[in-house]
Amino acid sequence: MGNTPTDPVCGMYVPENTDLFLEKDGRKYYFCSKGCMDKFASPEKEIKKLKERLAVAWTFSVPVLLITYLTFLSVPYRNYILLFLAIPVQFFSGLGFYDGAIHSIKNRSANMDLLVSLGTLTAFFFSLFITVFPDVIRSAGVYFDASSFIITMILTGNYIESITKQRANRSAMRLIDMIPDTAHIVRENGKIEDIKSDLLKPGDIISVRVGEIFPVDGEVLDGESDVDKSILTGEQNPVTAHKGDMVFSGTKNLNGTLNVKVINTGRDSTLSQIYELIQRASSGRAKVQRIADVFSSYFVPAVLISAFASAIFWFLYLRNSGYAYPLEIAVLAFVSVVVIACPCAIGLAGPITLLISSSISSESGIVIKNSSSLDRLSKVNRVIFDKTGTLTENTPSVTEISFSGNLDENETIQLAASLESQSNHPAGRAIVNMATEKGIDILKAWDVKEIPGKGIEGVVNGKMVQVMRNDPGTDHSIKIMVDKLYCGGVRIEYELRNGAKETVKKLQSMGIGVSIVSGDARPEVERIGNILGVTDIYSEVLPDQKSEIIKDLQNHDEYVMFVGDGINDAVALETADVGVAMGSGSDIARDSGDIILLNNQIENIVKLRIIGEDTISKIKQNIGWAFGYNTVLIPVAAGIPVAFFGLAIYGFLPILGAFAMGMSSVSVVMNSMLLRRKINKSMVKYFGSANSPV
Amino acid sequence: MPVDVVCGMKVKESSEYKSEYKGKMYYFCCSSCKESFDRNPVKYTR
Repeated sequence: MGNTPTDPVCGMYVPENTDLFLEKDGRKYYFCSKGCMDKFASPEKEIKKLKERLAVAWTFSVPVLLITYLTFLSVPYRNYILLFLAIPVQFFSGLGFYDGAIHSIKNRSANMDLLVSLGTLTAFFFSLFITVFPDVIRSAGVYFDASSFIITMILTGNYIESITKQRANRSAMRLIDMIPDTAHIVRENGKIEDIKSDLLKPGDIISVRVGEIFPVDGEVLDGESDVDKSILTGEQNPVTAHKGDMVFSGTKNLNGTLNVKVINTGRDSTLSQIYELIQRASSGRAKVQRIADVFSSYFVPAVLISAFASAIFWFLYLRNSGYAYPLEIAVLAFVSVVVIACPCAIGLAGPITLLISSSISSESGIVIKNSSSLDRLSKVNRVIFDKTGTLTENTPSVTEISFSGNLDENETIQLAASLESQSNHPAGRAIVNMATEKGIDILKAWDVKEIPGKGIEGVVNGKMVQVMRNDPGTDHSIKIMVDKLYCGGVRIEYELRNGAKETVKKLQSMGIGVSIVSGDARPEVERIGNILGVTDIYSEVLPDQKSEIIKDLQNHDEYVMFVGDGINDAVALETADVGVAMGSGSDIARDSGDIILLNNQIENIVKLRIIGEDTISKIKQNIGWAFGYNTVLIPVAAGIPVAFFGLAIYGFLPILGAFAMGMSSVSVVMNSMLLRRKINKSMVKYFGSANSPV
Repeated sequence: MPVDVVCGMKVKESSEYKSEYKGKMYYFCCSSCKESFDRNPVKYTR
């Protein structure tokens, strides 16, 4: 593997040979610093540690500040008292920065910890030297206020950032938190025992009671109950689970006890796979972040060069001008530049936005499998829908029935449905569904023979029954013959999915072209096209030809989103700039494509486009902010304000720099948190409401 | 350092997974990214 991993906490690239790595859920994570590794391993413990360090920092740095600036207070041994107050801040509160700095030197990838350590240690040891040897540089003062307050401000910023990030992450974590700790296993002797859900194995049988969450994926063996699948699909209406149906981890059993045979547990369960995909997407990188990556790799060396250059400039300039304190100003200029620079804001710009974007998507049953698809998503100008199963329902319905002959309507349907119950053909399923809806019993059929492309025949209730159906792609009329006499006919049609028409209309109003592709005959595709207002249609297309159509459009500079079946349209989904698989929430890892819609709600296509566009624009905004911050403030720290306020400004610049630096990361995180508001605003713009997409 | 255009990760030039497209060499982190690229380079190069 020739890849360079990224730190899942701060998003920085980390060499794979680093000794800072952890294995979690079978995956290896690499870190830029010990701080990041601790944050990842146990965020609560890390926040507690941060709180302690912060409390010490504020307790000691406030007196340092008071003694330094309330000059009318006459404090004996002033410098020594400042020194002793500054020591706990420097060497207890600031400890985490040194750990990080040492590792960054070892890894030869300079980070923020190195800059903070260099800045504060320079100010501290310069002041220590002046305190112990006051006669060496007679004119110089001490700057324990700068060394202590820089640490305090940056720790405060880190603390706010951790709290905000933890809140953002909680939304994704809620998936895993849903899995109950214990399950009721049914032993072979019928006894029910409580065991830890982690100990369940495929093949075990569990009992899931009313109101409980399914701990694993499984098949219903006994019972019937409504299941709330909203955690996976965002769909609020419960679905009834019968014997033989699949139930998924994280969904809720509403009103009947079910015995379930365990199929997938732990990491293989649907919920864990979705969580894994969300985590992977949020730790991936969007193309737009690459500019930030290039910038980051030159950033710390550039800051150090700027810091040395400004220190040397001020030292030489002031010494030649006969100024009394050239060394002090040089040290303060160095400290200010090093401290004000904030590579963290650049590192955070993408990952935090992607994390929030992933959790917003997952709440609507949208799983974005890789972040690189977000860039392409924001550029999509054509959406191609597969017809059957995407724009229309998977199974057709009977739309017209006609009868002639001696048999009554119900008997004709009963004979046809009994025969078709032996078939998997979509037309057959439509007839069986119609019989079930009418409450007609299905009878046993004998000598059933399916004739490909023609129909099915067999004996039902002593009568020879033939259902002559043409391929639903070409002709939707079906003849029912009983004892070789025509008894009736039905017409089947694929009904449009709810929301299909509105979705197409919204996409068109957003300036996005819409096409329909299908293996069906032209009249049927045209019928759907006419209802939806789509004229660009491709009919009688074989699965592999779909990808050729997409490639052709791509060669004409179109950015194509293909929406289709996750399994049958794999090649088209892979070829499209954004492949969207309409899934069922099961076996999501098998589905191809960049994005999976777990709930088959076609309206989510519009929401998806909005999420893509708004996420990329938010990342760009964050990167712009982080660039702007560093571009403007590094020259400020290097000495531009001296022209307006004189050299006295250097009394405050290091502390102001630390404040600005602490707040810059916080503001990137806060700005990312606004993504949800931005998406809601766009939803209101297009739909008039943030909650209901269409 | 080149970037894997499929997944967005940084890749070393010594990576064994690479493809040439329109006279430019693209490097990948794994065989699956290379296969995705080879199936439709247009998707990842514009």
